[in-house]
Amino acid sequence: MTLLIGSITIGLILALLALGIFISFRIFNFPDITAEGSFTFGAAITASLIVAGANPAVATLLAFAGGLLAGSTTGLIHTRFKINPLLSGILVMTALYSVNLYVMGKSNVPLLSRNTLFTWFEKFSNIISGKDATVNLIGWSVPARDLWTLIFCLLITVAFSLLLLWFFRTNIGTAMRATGDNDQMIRALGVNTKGMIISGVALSNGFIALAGSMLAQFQGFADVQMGIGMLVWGLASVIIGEALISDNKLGLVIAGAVIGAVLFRLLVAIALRWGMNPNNLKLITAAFVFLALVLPGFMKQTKKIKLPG
Amino acid sequence: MKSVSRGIIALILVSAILLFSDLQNRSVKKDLYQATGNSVPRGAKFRLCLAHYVDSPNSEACEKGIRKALEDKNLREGVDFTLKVYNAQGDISTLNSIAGIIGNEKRDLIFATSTTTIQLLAKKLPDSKIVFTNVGDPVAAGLGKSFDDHLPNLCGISTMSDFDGLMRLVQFLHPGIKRVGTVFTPVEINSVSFKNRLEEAAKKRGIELIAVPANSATEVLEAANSLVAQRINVFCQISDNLTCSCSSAILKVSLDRKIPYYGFVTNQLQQGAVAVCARDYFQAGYEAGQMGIEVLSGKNPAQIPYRYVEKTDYLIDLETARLFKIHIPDQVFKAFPQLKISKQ
Repeated sequence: MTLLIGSITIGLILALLALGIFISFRIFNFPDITAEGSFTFGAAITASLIVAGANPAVATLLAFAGGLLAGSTTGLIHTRFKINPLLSGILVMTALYSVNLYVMGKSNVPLLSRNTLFTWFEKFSNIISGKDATVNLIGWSVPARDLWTLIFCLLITVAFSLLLLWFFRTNIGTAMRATGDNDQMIRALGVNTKGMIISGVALSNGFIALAGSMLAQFQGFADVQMGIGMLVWGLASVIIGEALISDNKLGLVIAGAVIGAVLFRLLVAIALRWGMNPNNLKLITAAFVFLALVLPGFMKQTKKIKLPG
Repeated sequence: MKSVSRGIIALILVSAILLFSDLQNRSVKKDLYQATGNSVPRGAKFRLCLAHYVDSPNSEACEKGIRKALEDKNLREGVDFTLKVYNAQGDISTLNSIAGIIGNEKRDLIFATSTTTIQLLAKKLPDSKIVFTNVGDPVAAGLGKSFDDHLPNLCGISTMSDFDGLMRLVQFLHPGIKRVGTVFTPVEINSVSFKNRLEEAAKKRGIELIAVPANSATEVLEAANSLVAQRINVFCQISDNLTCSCSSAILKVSLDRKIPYYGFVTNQLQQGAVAVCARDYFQAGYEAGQMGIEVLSGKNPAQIPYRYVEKTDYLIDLETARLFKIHIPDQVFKAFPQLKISKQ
C-alpha cells in the first residue's frame, strides 16, 4: 500500500510536467524540447533558494517564474528570429545546462535536513495524526505522513489543473488555443499569434519547472542531470491519457494528462515490483505504454463487431 | 463523463494489480526481518538489495565486489541471503519509484552504488540500514557533518581520488620537481574541493600547484596552454565532470609540448597519460560488502564511520614514459607495490 501511495504521489508530481508538455505539444503544436532544461532549472532555483534560507513556498513559486522565463526565451527565439521550434528548444535547453550549474554553484545540491514543502506536510501530519502514526487501510498499515503527502500533492495538482482549465476558458486562453488550432484564422481576427506562442511556451515551461521543483523537494536533492528523459515520460503520459479518454473537451483532456501521468508511474512500479531483470526495465515500460495505447482502440473495435449497424 | 470513467477504471485496475502484487506485505510481522546477535547467524536468510542509478563500469565493478565479499564470508546467494538488484537506467523518476519499492519491501540491508542513489534513499528511507559505495564526497552530498558524525542509518565507502598517492609517485619519477599544473572547474563543487586537496598534498612535498579555471569545453584547451606558459613540469589533472570529458584536449597539449600527464582515471592511459592512480571500484564494492556484513551482524551503522577505499590502482604506461624520456627506475615497483604496467 505504501508502494501504491508513493507511486501515485510521484505520478501526481509528474502530472504537472505532463500538463506542461500537453500545453506546448497539444495546444500549440509546438514540439518544445526546452522541457529537459527547464525541469532541472525549476529544481535548481528551488534548491538554491531553500539552501539560502528562503521560504519553500516562495522558492517553489519562483521556480514557476523561472520556467516562464525559460519558455519565453524559447518562444522569442522562435518567433523573432524565425528559428525552427525544435532548434530553439535545443538552444535554450543546452544553455540552461550551464545556467543550472551557475544557479546551483555545483552539480548537485542536497536538501536532506532543510525545510521543504514536504517537511511541511510531514509536520502537518505530525500535528494532525501524531508523530510516526500509522493508518490502517484495508489491512495495510500506512504511515500517516505518506498519506498526507499524497493528499497535499493531489490538492496541488488539482488546483493547478483547475487553474489551467479556467485560464484556457478566458479570452486570452481561447485565443491561445485557437492559435494552435488554426493560426491563420486567429491572425485574421487580429490576434498577435507571436505573443500567444511566446506566452504559451512560457506557461508550458512554468508548469515543467514547477514539477522539477516539487520533485527536487520530494527526493531531497537537485541534480544537474535530473531532467534527462523527462520529455519522453511526459509525452508518454499525455498520449496514454489521450488514448484512454479519447474526447477533446478541454477539461477531459486535462484530466487525461493527469490520469496518464499517474497511470504511467503505476505501470513502472508494477514492472519493478514483479522483480524483472533490471536490464529489461525500459523494454517492459515501452511494452506497457504500447499496450495502453493499443488496448482502448482494440476494445472499441470488438464492441463494433458485436453490435453491427 | 463516460470517457473519464474509463480513465478512472484503468487507474483503479492498475492500482489493484499493484496492491495484489503487494499482498505479502499486508500486516507484516516486524520482528521477522530484524537481525540480532553479534555474529552472522547461520541459517538466517537475509533480504538484501542493491540499487544502481545508471549502468556504468564503476557501479558494475562495485556490484561484483559486494557479491565477492558476501561469498568470502561463506554466505551463499539463495541459501543465506537474497540480493535483489534494481537499476534506474539513468532516470530520476524511476529511481524515485525504486526507492518506494525498496522501502515497501523492508529489506534487511540496502547497498547504493552512486551519490544520486544514496541521497535519494537517505531521504526516503530514514529507517532502513543502507551501505553506500562509489560516492566521491559523502559530506558534500549532505550525508553527514563529517566521516564520523553522519546520518545514523548509513555507512559506506568514499571513492575520493588518492591525491597524496599520485603526488608521491610523481615526485618519485621526477625528483626535484617544482611545479605541477591542473585545470579545474569553479562551478563544480567537487572540482574545487579536489583542487584544494591536491594543492595540500603537493605543498606537503614542497611542490607548487598551479590551477587554472575552465568553465566550458572550449576553455579547457586554453587553460591547458596557459598552464604550459606558466612553465609547469607535469600535468596532475584532477577528475571532475568537465575536465574528464575534455581530457583529450589537455592530453593533446601534453603530447605536443612534451609535458607528461598524470591523472586519476584509468582510460586516460590509452589517450597518452604516463601514469594514473585510480580507485579500484571492485575493491570499493568489496569493502562496502564487508561493512554490510558488520551491519547484518548487529553493529549499528551510526557507529561505523565513513571511510576511503583502501586499495588504489597505480598504472603506468612504459611506452608513453619512454616517449616523454622519463626514466623508470626498478625501485619504483618496490616503493609502490601496487604499481602495475598497463597493457595496451
